[in-house]
Order: sequence, then structure tokens, then C-alpha cells
Amino acid sequence: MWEVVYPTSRAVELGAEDDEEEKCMFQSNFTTPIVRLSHELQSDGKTVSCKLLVLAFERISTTFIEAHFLNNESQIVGLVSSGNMKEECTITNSLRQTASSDKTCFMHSADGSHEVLFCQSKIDVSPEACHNWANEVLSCIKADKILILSTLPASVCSLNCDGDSDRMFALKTESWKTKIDCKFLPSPNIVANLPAAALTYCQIFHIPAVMYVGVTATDSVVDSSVIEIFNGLLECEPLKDLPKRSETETAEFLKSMKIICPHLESNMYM
Amino acid sequence: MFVPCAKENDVIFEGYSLILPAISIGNVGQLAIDLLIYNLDLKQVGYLYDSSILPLVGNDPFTSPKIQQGNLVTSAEVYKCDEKKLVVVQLRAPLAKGCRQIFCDRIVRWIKECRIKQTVLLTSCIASERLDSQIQSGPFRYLLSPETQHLNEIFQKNFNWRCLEERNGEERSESDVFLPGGGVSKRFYKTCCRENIPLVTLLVFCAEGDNIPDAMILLYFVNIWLQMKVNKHDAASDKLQMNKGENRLSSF
Repeated sequence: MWEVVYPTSRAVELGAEDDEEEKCMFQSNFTTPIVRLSHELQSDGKTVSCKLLVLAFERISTTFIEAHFLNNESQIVGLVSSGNMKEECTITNSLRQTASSDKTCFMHSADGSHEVLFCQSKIDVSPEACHNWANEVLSCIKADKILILSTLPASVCSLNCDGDSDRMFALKTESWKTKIDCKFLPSPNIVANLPAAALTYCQIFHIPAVMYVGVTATDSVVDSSVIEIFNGLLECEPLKDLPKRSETETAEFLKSMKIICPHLESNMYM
Repeated sequence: MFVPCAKENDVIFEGYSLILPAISIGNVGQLAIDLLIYNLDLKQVGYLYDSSILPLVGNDPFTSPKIQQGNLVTSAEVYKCDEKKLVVVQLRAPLAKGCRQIFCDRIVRWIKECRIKQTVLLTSCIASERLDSQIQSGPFRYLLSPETQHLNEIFQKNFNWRCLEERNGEERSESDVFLPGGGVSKRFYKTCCRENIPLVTLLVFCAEGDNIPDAMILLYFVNIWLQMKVNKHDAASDKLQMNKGENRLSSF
């Protein structure tokens, strides 16, 4: 018995080329994010200047930042909303991502000087909206240096990992001159979506920026050991000189954290 | 849309030929552009920065994986060769959904602003969609916009190339062409026809798999026409060289 199998393509959606899908202008306006910053931060009413901006994307990276750099005294100094009223986040949300509805993007200042800002992005941004997100956020916050933390699922990577030391890789812009203590992300691995949009912005507009990519088996914080992937950064520029939580505080935070695994929430088994 | 690499750089493209890929089946156009960049040792002069192109970053695909310099590669980059008067665009990421026409319009506007002499689109089509008559000949075809019809004679008489066959059966307008698996190719062709842009579309029929040979075929034909001598190690040779660390770096 023969079966007719239609061709598939990794490059294009076959048959979709003729589809009329001219909703982009509408979609583009709809998904332009709104950046709100506290008044004490803004020098000219529109933009903010800082020495270092740390952009952490998704659960593992944001939890790492929370565990080591944010505490009860950390101020929320701004937020980025999706621009979609239905998903508008409020500044009263919890800082911990313990519920699926708690998808937020807050700016934190670890100390009162506002020289170092942490952007904790736990929101889902569609690939089509990432360009606008990076453009909007990074044109509002003028940072001397930018550090981006992101993760890649091991299942989509092509790597020859020798051990734990090969679980974190770097990408940098041309303007980043500080030494990097880990390997560069080997080709042909790529990073897409928000982290890519942010690093692209930095590359094009000559902002010194580095992205650390943790290669993980899961995208959820299933236990506290997952965030240890970034621990090496605590001793490296530019994070090593920042005020950190004590080891006890970090351990307490991780212990108190409500560990959730979204994949398990949606299945039928106990 | 175009942002130069250096802040003070005023890049001039007037009178140059633009070569760009369509994101099409097998990534053939993109692979051919990578071959071109590597073999001509092209210099990057800027980026295409636009919301219609999805973001992507990776490491330099042209160096050996063992010698990573950490040169960042982004989703849309522009290269230039002053000697051969070429502007080459490489796209490594798909276009944003619903933004194909916007991409075409913005590229065409940029082409007009830069006073580009002619545009060459490298693309591919699904081999299984070929007509019986198309199966009996080689996989390479060309398609000309009204502004480049004068090239028909050169392509057919001098090079013995085949123009993309018309499809019968349905009433079609002049700019309606059948390019299955060609991604944005058809839309770009129609936009160029409408805006009177001189466009030469070069394509190969292929199937998904290891498409580097298809890319080499495509670039071989480009080289016959544009006489680029695409071998940086031996200027007298027409043989293409693969990058030793040849890596696909496209998002799909």
C-alpha cells in the first residue's frame, strides 16, 4: 500500500504563502508594549539612565536574580505591560511567579541609587511583538552596559557537552569589551524571541551587552538546583560587585519558593 | 530599515546589484548567500532592522566551531563588495506572520531610496510540484520582472537557461506566478512588478534535506551571469568552496 505524503519544510509554511494575513499594522500597534517608570527615576520625563541593566527572561533566569539580588527592600521602579488591556499587569502583583496568572515584567532597583536596574520579564511575548518590546524598553532605559540572562532547552540545542561547565554559553555585542569567562554559544545554535530582540538592539545601536544562555533540561523551576546554572556569574563582571543576598537568605528564599511545574499541572495523573 | 554598522558610516549603494534570499524550501537561497559571503569574503556594512523580521542571534557561522571569536550574527545583515558593485542581504529568520507584504514594501522602498541598479532574488520551489515537462530538464529556472525583460535574450541564447514555465488552466495576470514553497518570493515578485523594480528571480526545484548542493547549483548559475569569480582562494577558479565550519544558522 502506498501513501501520498505531502512535503514539509523547515523553512516555510507550505501553502501559506498566498494567505492574506495583512493584520500586521493592527497587530503591531496592538502589541506595542507600554513602559511605565517611576517619576524619581526619570531624568527628562521619558528616559532613564543607569550603569547596568540586567534583563532576565523567563522563569529560571528571573528566579536566579530574585534568589541572589532582590529582597524585600528592592523597589519596583517600573513595569512593562503588553499593551493588551486584557493582559495588563498591575503593580500590586506578587514578585514570585507562583501562579500562572502572575505573568509580569517589573523593573527593580536593588539599592536606592538606581544605578543598577533589574528587568524581570516573566511575560509571554509573541515572536512578532519582540521587536517592538525591545525597541520600546531599551529606548526608555539608557544603560551603559546590559546583561541578558536567558535559557535554551537542551532538546533544541546541538551541543557536545562535557559536563556542567558546558551548560552556560555567551553571546556578546561588538561593543562589549569585558572578558567573558565561558564559551561562546557554538554555531549552529541560535537564540530567538525577546532575548534575541534585546541583544540585536544592543548590537545595532552600539550598546555594550552580553547574553548568558543556560542550556537546561526544563524550562520550569522544578527545584532550586536548576538556577545554579548561572552561579558562575556571581563571581564575574558585571554581577560580582553588586550587593547580594547572603547565602542564608538565598537558601531561605529557595526553600520558601513554591515550586511549580506547569507541565504537571495540566495532566491527569497524581 | 537599513542601519549602518558604524555610526558615522554613510553607505552608498547607487548603481549596485542587490542579491537577497527568499526564505524558501530547503533554505536554498539563504545557503547560497552564505556561500557567496564566504567565497567573496564580503564585508558587513549594516543591518536590516525591522519589525517584519523575527529576531535571532547566534555566533559567527563563518569561523570554525573551534575558533569562536564571539562575533554576533543577527537575523538580517547587509554586506557589500565595492569591486563587484554588489550589495548582499542575508536573512536568517522567518518573517513575522502577517508582515510579508510590509516586508516587501519596505525592501522595495529601500531599493528605490538607494538607487539599486537591479535586484536578484535567490529562491527555491518544491520539486514535487513540477510539471512533467519540468521534470525532464534541470532544476534551475529564472523569472524576470517587466523591467528586466531585456535579459531574456542573454539568458536563453548565451546561457541556454530556461524561463520558469507558465501554468495553464487558470486565467492569470502577468504578475501571477506559481512558486510553491518559495515563501515570500511570489509576493516580492508582484511588488517589484507593481513598483517597476528590475528584478531577476533565480530558483531551483528541490526537496527538503541536505540542500547545500542545491545552493551550489543556484550560485553556480548566478556566477555565470554576474561573473563574480566566487573563490577567495583562487581568483581564476570558478569552483565554490564550502566553509569548513559550514553551519546552518537559520531559524525554522
